[in-house]
Amino acid sequence: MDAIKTTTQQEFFDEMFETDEEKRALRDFANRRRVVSKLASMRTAKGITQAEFARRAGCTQGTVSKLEAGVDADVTLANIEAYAKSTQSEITLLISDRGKSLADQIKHHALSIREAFMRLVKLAHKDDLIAQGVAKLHAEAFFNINQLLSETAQQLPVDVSGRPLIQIVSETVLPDECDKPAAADSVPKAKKRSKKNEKATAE
Amino acid sequence: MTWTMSPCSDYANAIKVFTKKWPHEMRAVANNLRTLMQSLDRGANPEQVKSLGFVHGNYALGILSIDETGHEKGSKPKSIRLYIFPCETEKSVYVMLLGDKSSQHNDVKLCKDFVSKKLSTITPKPK
Repeated sequence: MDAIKTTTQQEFFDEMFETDEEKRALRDFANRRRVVSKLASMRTAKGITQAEFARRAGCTQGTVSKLEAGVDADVTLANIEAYAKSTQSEITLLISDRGKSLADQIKHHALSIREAFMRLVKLAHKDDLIAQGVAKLHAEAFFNINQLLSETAQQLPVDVSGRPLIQIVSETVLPDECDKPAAADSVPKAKKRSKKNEKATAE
Repeated sequence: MTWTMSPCSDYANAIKVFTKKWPHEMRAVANNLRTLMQSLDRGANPEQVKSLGFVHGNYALGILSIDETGHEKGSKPKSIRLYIFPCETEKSVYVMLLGDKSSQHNDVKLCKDFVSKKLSTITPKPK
């Protein structure tokens, strides 16, 4: 036996079933279990066994096992609440218009991120230490979102001449450089850098 | 961090036959594997994923198997085992082979040979 290759999870599952009909059947099967899969993975990621979870939730291990092997239609809000409580997670219920486009979903999440940051910024005004933490979080979030967009942009198709449709490039600016007064002839560059160190070129 | 997948030759040789012969059970196995991957991506370690109801993990060397729990076949499902090895150093899950209960003894032996070889080539993580 030999390992053939290393693939992404998406590629692996795409190749697992051959025909479109089989792939659709798998997708439908998975769609009926999205919530139970998430609950089971939340529990295991916290290192909680089914028995331990049952003890905390006041039910039997058999009940937990049956729930995690079942379908979303059998899950109650009380079940979700018990998992959230046990794994110290927060429940966010998102109800959106049917057929909402992916672009709209991204905008919705972007607004949620903005809202969460605004709440943190308010807290930052109450304490210096919190302010430092929130500032650090801004940098981390910027880095992560930037990296995420770079990765997805790289997977876009190329144009007819083989060039990427968009390139997202980030540049690290050291604190020392930020503090330097900008020379008269380098004003545009300095301005560009202070704009979140990012330039996106669409060609 | 997102884990990758490393399918092995024995799995690749068997997958077509299994999905054709036992589509209901294989859909459940695939979905269970996806749930296990979600757990790993969320930060569970290979030992912790043993607490998923469809995972069997008493084979030593970190070998696990996934069964067809959750299948939608009315009655008499085929008992399927998908053998995997989540390699924490490489953050990749080796998907070794597919078998059933009757071939379990031989399947586990093949997996142990593969994982032993694999482990001998992996440099342990610096502490």
